[in-house]
This record gives sequence, C-alpha cells and structure tokens, in this order.
Amino acid sequence: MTITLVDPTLPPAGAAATLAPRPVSLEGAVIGLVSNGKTHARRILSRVAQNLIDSHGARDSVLLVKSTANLPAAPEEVEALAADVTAIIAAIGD
Amino acid sequence: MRPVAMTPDRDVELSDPWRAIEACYEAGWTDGLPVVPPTESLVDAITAGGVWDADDVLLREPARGLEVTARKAAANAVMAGCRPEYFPVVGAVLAAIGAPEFELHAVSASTGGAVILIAVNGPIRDEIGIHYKENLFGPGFRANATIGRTVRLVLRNCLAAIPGKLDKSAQGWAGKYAMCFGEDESTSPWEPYHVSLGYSPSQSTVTVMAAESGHNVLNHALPDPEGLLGTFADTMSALGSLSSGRSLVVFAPEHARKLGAAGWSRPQVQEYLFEHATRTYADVKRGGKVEAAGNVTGFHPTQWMETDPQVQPGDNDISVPRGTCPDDIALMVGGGDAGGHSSFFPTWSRDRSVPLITQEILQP
Repeated sequence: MTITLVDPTLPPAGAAATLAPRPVSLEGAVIGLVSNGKTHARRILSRVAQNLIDSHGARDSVLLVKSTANLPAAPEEVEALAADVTAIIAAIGD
Repeated sequence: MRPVAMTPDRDVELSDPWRAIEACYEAGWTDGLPVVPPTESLVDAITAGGVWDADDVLLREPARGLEVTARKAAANAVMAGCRPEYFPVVGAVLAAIGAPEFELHAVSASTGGAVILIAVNGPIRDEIGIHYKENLFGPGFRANATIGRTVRLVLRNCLAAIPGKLDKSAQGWAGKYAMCFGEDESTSPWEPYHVSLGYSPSQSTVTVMAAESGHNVLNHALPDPEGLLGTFADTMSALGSLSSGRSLVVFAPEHARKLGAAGWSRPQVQEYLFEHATRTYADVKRGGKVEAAGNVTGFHPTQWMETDPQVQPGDNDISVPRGTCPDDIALMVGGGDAGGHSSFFPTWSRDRSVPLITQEILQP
C-alpha cells in the first residue's frame, strides 16, 4: 500500500543566488568588511583584514557596521560598499 | 500574484503503519519526537471550512521573503497532532511572528536560543481546551502541546531553523518543543491581558514573545505586596538575563490573589517591579554587560554605550533598570490554585530585543 505525504517544507531561500567571481589576486585590493555590529565581529574582521594586508598584498579595508544584528544590511549600503572594494567579507560575532 | 514556491509531496510505500512515521524521521521533518504522518486527507481536514484557503500565505518571513501557506502550515499542524479547531490559533501565531518588528529571522537563528512563547486569551481557550491551570507550562494538554509544537515545526521545516544550521542556539531550552498556555482570566485580579491592550473580552487573541527560559519565582510566606514583589524584582534583576528588553511575569493564582486583595492595580505592580528590578552600573560593568563604545548593544539610554566598560567611581550610585519603562513588563495570571510558584520570562538576548506582539484569532 502506498500513501502520499504532504511535504511540510519549503525550498531554501536564495537558491538562485550566485556568488561574484573570486578575485585572482588580492594584490592592491581593498577589502570590504561587513560586521553584524557585535564586539567580536569587529575583532574577527579587523584581524582578517590585517592578515590579508600583511600576507596577501591587500592595500586597505573598509568597514560597514550594520545598525542592528537582527536584520540584513540595507541594500543601498551594500551596493555602496561593493562599488568601492574588491571583495567583501561578512562576519557574525557575538 | 506570484506563485508560492512548493516542494513536491512524497509517496511512501507502507509495509506497516510505523513505516510512515519512520519516513518522516528520514526526511528530517521532526523535532526528535514522532510525528503524525501528514497525509493529504489529514492536511485537507485542517483547512476545510476554515478561515483560509490552502494557498493563502499565513506567514511571510521578512528577511528572506519565505512564504508559508495555509497548506504548508496545515501539514506541520497535522504532524504536531493538532485538531482542525486549533488551526485558527496557529494562523494567528504565524501572523504575529511575521510582523516585521518581531524580527523572526534573528529570533530563529540567534545563539540566544529564543522560544516562541504563546499566550492565549479569550473565549477560545475553553472552546478548544487551551489549559490555564495547574502544570501551566508542562505536558498533558493537547491544544497547548500541539499548537506550540506546530510553530516550532514550521520554523524548522519551512524556515530552515534547524539546529546547527540556521538555528545557532548555543543551548536553547525545552520550551522550543512547545510553549503555549492560556491566561487564567477568571482568577486574575485585573482585566485579562488582552483587554488591558484594548481588546474586548469576547475577542480571542494570541500574544507571542521571543522568550529566554523562565525563572521560577518561589514565595510561600506571602508577605505584604512589597515583600512579595521584591522577590520578583530580585529575580528580574539577575545579571545573567539583565537587559533593556521586555519582561513577562506570570503570577500563580496564590500570588495574584495576594496582590488583588491588597488592592494593587496592574500599573502599580508594573511600576514597582520596574523601579526595583535594578542593578548598579558597577555590577552591570563587572558582569560584562557594557561593551566597548561604538558597538551595538548595551542598555537604555544609549549614553551607556559611550562609557568606558571599566568600573568608574560613582558607578555604584547609578541604577540600571531592566527594560526602559513599566510598560515593558507584561503581567499575566495562570497556574494551579495552590502553590507560591510564579514565573518570570525575559525577552531573548542582551539588548532591547523585540516586542511582544498580540494578534486577534480569526475563527470561521
């Protein structure tokens, strides 16, 4: 005997999203940093950025701190950051 | 209208009834307990004759734009063990937690392990058997257990709030299985909670809260109201849960009757608790609650965030309250008639958190 079960799930969100192409090199790159606004996110990001500068030739970093950890960064903020940097790293600190 | 994304139903070959239950486990649909297999007839029965059509969206999660239809919610309600007459309550809860100000994505994903606490007011409590007496938060009552469980299953199955994946709760707490109860309106010395917000007694509502685990507040000696409420204020000022967020205090009938007999009004109790649930600023700093200036956290007003987190002279003379005003402290009544055991629930996480949301229950 076969029964049919109604699937209680939804497809995952953002399934159609694609990542930007990975930079071939970080030489001279400006690294964008997106912090969720909590203390340890800033620490993680600053250390990562410094490592990329010291060890991978990046030139500088730009930090965007979200106004709240609970919501995504505003699209216009992300777009403005993306226009100025080579690659973006986001961190969730606690 | 844009069609809502759907996943295909699945066929299960049954050699015995247990196979369907195992299939749900294998699919990852459960909260760890067995579920009722969501057959088409059971799911249809949940929505038949109800307020919503199968394709009506009951919950739209704002951050990712995920939409939960009545049919999807009904499938989870069947799995939880809900009866069709419980579904209006489920729909009201989903509407409430989908409010943008509830910030459901953060509530579901945070390390804080928040529970969707559901409090029900109005006639529907007795109509469908929502329990509001002894063992108020405990097991044994189908409506309470299955309504609360449905919401958790929806979060898991429809919003991917799966432990270790999106749900990053460090520990969570047992209320994540189900946390739904009614207010004991007839025992309360005050108007029902929803009436205090402006609803009529004949309306039924749900109130949702992103709640941390509750603190039992034990007081059997029943001193004067100030003494009794001092026990609550002390509990509410615990450093481990101190924040500028909201609070829910559920008074057991013994405690509520004491306050009522002394003639204390709801606002009077709220004000007393707000004024006395405090810690010194020095304690707050020593407890690591004030982080370096420029970070999003801390207490109200925001001037705290601009202060050195190191203890300074005079910090012992500054009082930091829980919350920002007396109205941040919601009061309800419920539980067994005997026993001086009430409960305090802080809102999730370390700062202002999200508000309690009250939503009317629509019934056919």
